[in-house]
Amino acid sequence: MSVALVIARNTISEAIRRKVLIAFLMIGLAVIGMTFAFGQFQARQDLTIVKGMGLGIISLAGILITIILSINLLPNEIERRTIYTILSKPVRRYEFLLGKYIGALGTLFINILAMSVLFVIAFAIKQAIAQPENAINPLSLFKATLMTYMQLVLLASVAVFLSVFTTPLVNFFLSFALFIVGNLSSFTQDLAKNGANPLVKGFFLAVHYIVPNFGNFNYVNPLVNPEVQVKSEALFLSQNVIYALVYAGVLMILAILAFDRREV
Amino acid sequence: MPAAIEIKNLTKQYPVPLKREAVNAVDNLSLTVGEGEIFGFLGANGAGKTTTIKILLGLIYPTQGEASVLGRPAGDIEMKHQVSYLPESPYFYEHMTAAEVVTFYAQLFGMKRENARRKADELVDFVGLGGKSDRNKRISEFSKGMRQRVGIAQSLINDPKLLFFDEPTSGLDAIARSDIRDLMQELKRQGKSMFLSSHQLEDVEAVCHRVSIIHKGKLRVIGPVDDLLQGEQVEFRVAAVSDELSNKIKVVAPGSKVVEGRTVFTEKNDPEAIAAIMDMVRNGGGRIEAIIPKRRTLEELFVEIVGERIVIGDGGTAFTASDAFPSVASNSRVDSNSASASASDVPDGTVAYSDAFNRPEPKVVETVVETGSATEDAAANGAAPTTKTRRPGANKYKELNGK
Repeated sequence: MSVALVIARNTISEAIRRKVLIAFLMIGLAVIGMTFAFGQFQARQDLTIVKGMGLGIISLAGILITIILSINLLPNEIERRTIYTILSKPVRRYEFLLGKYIGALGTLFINILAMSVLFVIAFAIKQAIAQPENAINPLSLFKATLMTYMQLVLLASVAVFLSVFTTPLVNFFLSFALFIVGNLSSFTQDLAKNGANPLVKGFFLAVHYIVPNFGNFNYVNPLVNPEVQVKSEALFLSQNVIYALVYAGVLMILAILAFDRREV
Repeated sequence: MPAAIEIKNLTKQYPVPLKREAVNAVDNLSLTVGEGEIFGFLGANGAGKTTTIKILLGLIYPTQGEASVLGRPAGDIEMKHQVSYLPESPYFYEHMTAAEVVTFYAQLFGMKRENARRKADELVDFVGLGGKSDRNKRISEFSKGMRQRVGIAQSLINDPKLLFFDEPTSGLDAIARSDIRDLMQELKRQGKSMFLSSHQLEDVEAVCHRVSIIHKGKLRVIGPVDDLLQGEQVEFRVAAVSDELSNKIKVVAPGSKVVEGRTVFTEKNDPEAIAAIMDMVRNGGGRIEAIIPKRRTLEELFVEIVGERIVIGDGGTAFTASDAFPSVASNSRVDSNSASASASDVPDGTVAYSDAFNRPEPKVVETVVETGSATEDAAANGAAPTTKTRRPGANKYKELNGK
């Protein structure tokens, strides 16, 4: 495992220097910073927009960073032939793949944390200025960004799994498609329940259960609309964390099994 | 002697899109490399050299056959603790410095970070990248030669028993090449095993105990360097040749010619034939000034094999591993007529070894045979003439490892 951590640390140090990822992070940070510019709305509306927009930007930048980072983790090593010198050392293939994945999660954590901290600070200042009646604890926004992070943990495992078989370009579109389908989980569930044709029903049922349910991680609504109530917040958060970890774990096991026989 | 590498009937096929037949990158390859042996693995581009190395390291898998390295299956993790690999044109993480790269690889062997850093600093110094200007440079700023030096450093991090070097001197300037050749000599002296794939045939010729030539995935030639390069003819240089003797020589060697007052001709490299000619010259009043075996260069041999102007054996071996490693080569094929070259078979100024493997120091052999002298008699009996030894230059690796 220590070998995997060495590879993970190296993956992080490499990824945080990648210009395309830095660009997404900077755009995310800039847009969050721009929320200070809103002033034409009423205070309550203003804060609602800041919350919705900030969380949305973090999610969007996070998705782009995750996909671009994860689809290239393995192909880059093979294309640059750095994998030869690594796998000729006493490094098991699962250690290598896990190391790359853990490194990607570490990079995502740094990115999401940076955006979240800026977002929470921006929101706290904005709220302090507006002094609305239903003020919330700004730190509660971290719950939403935690859910975003867990969503990205799952998305990264999908992209890493697919990277064992596919080219980065194919993987890019596949990962995006799965992310969108996974966000429409309630829709595919409806189609599975209400479809007339048994084949169509079976298809959507399979899609519903096989594709990760990325929509589960949406915690923006309860924060943006205080009317929307979550029965048990702790249960909601813990269930989603466990769901993401288990699903990602299964995908990584499958990726390791496939990578073990792959020629590099 | 135990085998460092044992390959049996190894085949690697790659499917060709839209075709039924697969292409054989490696075709039924069998060979053995002994522990402590420096083994040259030669072939043209696409011959299957790198594929073979990748199979041995477990980076790819064979279609058929078996391979073991240091007594363990190819790709085994325990084996990898004792081997190292320098790929052709090695690539490293561009954002790192040389020391950071080597530290990273050291940590993959389970070294603690501080130990890894210290060892990395030593190795970076050793490969000549320890200067102030190079130390802080990122790999992205390195030239090809500097990257190769980093590759050498990372390949020595675990003090390996067996090294796989794939084109270690490719693209390097003369000084860097000389340094790496010296390093290989030092590793050889220390008893390391090396599987050396190279296009720099003079390096291979100077360093390797045995070489093999692989062509289109098939092993075409394998054997001790001297045996492979030993020519089939010797050149006589005879002085004080009378007309009568000249006529006799023309009968034996119609192509004889006079060069600077000496009659020069070639004859089959056969002890009986040589002895008969020596008797003829001596009885005819002539004086033999030199008998020079016509030795091929490795390049000439390589061109012959790869150019397919000759075929040795049935797509197989002309010389067997048993010549050099009787204990590990029991499965070798074809003949073993290739007795080790004696020093007297070697022309003036040629680097040679007294036998295939057991003499680590290269020697420059001066061959001067005079008619009627004790030296001539000794040469005729196959004894070695006077030799002087050339020592490898740098011993930096020795100092580094305190050996």
